[in-house]
Amino acid sequence: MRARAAAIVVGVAALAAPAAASGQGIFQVVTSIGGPPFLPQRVVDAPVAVSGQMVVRFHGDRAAGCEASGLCDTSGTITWDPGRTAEVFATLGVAGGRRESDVYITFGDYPPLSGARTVAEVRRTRPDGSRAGCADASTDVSDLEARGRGLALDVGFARGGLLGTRCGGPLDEDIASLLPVRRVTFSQLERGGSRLDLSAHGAFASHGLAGQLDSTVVLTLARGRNHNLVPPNIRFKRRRMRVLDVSYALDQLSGQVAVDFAAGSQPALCDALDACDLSGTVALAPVASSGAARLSAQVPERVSALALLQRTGLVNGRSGKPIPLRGFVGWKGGGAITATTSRPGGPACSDRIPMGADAILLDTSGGALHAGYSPLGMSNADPVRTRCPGPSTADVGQVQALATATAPLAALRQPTLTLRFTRGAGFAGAGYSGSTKPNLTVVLKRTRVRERVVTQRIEVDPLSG
Amino acid sequence: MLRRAGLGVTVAGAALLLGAAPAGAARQVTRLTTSAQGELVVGWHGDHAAGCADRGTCAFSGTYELPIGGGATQSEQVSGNATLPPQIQLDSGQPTVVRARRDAPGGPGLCVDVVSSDLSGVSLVQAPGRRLALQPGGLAGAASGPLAGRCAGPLFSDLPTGFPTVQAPARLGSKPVTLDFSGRRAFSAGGWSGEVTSTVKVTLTVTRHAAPRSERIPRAIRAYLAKRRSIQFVTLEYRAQQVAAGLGVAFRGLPDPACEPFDACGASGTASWSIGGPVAKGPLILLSAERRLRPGEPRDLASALRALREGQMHVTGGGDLGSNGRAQSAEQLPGGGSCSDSTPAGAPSLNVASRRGRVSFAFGGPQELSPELFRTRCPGPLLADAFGQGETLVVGRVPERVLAARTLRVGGQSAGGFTGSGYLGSRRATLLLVLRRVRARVEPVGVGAP
Repeated sequence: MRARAAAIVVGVAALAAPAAASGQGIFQVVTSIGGPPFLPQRVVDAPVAVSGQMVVRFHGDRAAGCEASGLCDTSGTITWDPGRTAEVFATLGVAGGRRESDVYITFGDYPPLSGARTVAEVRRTRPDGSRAGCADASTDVSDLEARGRGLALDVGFARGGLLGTRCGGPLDEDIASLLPVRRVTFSQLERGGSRLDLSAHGAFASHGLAGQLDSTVVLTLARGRNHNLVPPNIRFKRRRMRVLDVSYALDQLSGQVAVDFAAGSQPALCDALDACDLSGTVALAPVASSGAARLSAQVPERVSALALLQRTGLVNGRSGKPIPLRGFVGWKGGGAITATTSRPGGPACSDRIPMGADAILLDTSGGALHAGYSPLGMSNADPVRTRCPGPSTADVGQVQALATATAPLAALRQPTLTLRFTRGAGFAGAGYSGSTKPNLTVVLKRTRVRERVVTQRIEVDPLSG
Repeated sequence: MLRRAGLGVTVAGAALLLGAAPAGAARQVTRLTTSAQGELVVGWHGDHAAGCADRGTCAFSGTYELPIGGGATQSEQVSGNATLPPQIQLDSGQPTVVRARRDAPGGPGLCVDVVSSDLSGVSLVQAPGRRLALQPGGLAGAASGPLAGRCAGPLFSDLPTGFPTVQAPARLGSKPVTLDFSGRRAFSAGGWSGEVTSTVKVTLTVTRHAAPRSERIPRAIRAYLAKRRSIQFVTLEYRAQQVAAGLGVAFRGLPDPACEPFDACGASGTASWSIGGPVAKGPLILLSAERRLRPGEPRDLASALRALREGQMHVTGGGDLGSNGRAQSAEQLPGGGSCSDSTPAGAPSLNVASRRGRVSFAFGGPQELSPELFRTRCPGPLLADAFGQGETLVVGRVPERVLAARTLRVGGQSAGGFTGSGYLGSRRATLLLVLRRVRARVEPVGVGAP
């Protein structure tokens, strides 16, 4: 999940690169969908000593609605162990004319024996009174993330997949109100010695589950290092590139992608995950309140504007080697992830989680436009994890799109572009196997085609002599 | 004990970078890319017929989940046909998830741990009869080591050897070859019975291309190397006449809830590793000392040893103390019952370095990946819990001047407390080496940067 999230950030950054081509510094401008570009000015990193862990004990609770969600027979413990070392990486920059700052704390150094992990032990009572247990671990989430204004950074637990495993149980949003946030300044990061006490204790009750959170996590910052964003020995060369951007407004987003699953092919593992007789569906139904899409290409300036338009397929005519367009559809809004799981003779489990901003990746190749929907949630959260037991992205496949659509390149010449996601994919993870069944439609209205020449500063490889 | 993989890649890259190409020759680089997907899953349980009662492991059962894939590993050869290296570490990127269940009267205890793929990862190795096999063991080469992290479970050596295997491809060409390692194999060893299930598929792809033009020495490095300096190297070879080293911990489970993920609440015990005794032909310890020679300075061995005595040489080196170590553990399990086991274990490498007139002989150190020395089939803390990850385990120091003597006696010890994941306790470590110098020679004076 993390790797995929990183991939889209890189992808989005690459799209933003032409616009930032005249900017200073070796860091590319990174922008989020719909957000202003972020130009880093100051970077500080520091080692962190870590102690403590976060433990969430929970049980199905009637007052919290366990009968409706089918979780009354469930209890368990989820432990997030951050390891003993971490690295804080803070960036101060400008976004939309205002000073913004980001901080990432990455837990666990090499090897991940001492790194962060989430461990879940979830038990349930079978209808015959016997007990079954699910044990799972995940190392997907190992970061804390925060954003600040100016020189102050608010460090807290990122809402994402801290508690996520294949065993089910509470999600991060169930305990979010109990988690502390601590402020640290850039000066404190540079000086070192600050202690960020992220300990917390409190009860929660949400979506059929109630329990107790106990965090004893404390971070102690060592002296930080300031990074010069443009080291004096870095040399640049200039390159003039012709850039093509095709912009769309999102007109319609409807339908859903269903992920049907059952226990995987490994008998020992399905027993350990308490999944041998479990089957279910996770359905992702995104809803957009607003959205946009962009397809971009860049070539050396010597390629004419007409050739660029022809070779990308935007204009009919004699063309040479095709030039690929790459981009994304991004949207803000709602929608929901709903899960239903069942076992023979046992109560059905159901859950519903709101969806946030999301994106679809686009690219052209082989004379067609390809679109892939791999819901990222724009956070660390695993899109197929819910409070019910079921697969994770480790089972479904980290790089596999849940739904894909293809349209002929000629569709790019029309003012309206309709993408119908009807092709799903099968998966066969060790824990769970199944298939995705998409029925998702995206309609885009073209708003602008812009071609221009920009000057890029390219770092010269210092090893090239 | 191995350096981290990244360093190896860097060294290989540097070698490629600095390798001088014949003038005018167009070098071909053959690149073998290995990508894999799937999983190895080991399901196991304590088995009376296999001897679990002797160890107290009959109440345990569990799984190891070793994901494979998520990346590709590459090896490069300069010119020639693609050949398979003896061992290819399959890039996992994902750690092994360990689950161990302990059946007890008050309800089962569950231990869940995560083990680095560097310690538990899977390699593609060549097997007899022109076959290829998947071999768990990780970078640390812990063939007999534990796979279970802090939980109870089988050792690598309890699992079927070289399972599964497939016929090696007759030749590797430009067409990708996919090897299907799917299969199941039952095993019974070390007090356990179980089954290994594989869904692993490995794809080998060969590409050939011209060596990039940038493979020349960067200007800054050329300028640095051009400053001629005379450097003298002295090689000192020692045989270990006596080796006595040991690591030990006395541990107990952390207070609830920190003990819970590891089923360690109420557990207590000891674990140790030792290697030692007089040795007829002990392991070889190689030291290299170097100094910058001033113009006209004598270059013979006596002068070099004199410089060594006076602390004017920088010493580095090390050795391998062999593989006849032994791990032992004994533990009182939560709620009653006990587990005890003893297994062969390797040894950490010995690293030698001089600083400020003193030479340190150390087990382990920064950037080193130690095999788990005192873990057995019973649950318990890891080496990293007790001694820290990448930390020196124990060090003995001697003045640099004594290196000129024929016999060297090095001793060191350490002790302290620890709080790790799931366990806390006390640790101790001892090291005693009696080394006899068997050879000292002066290498020809080299020219280069000191």
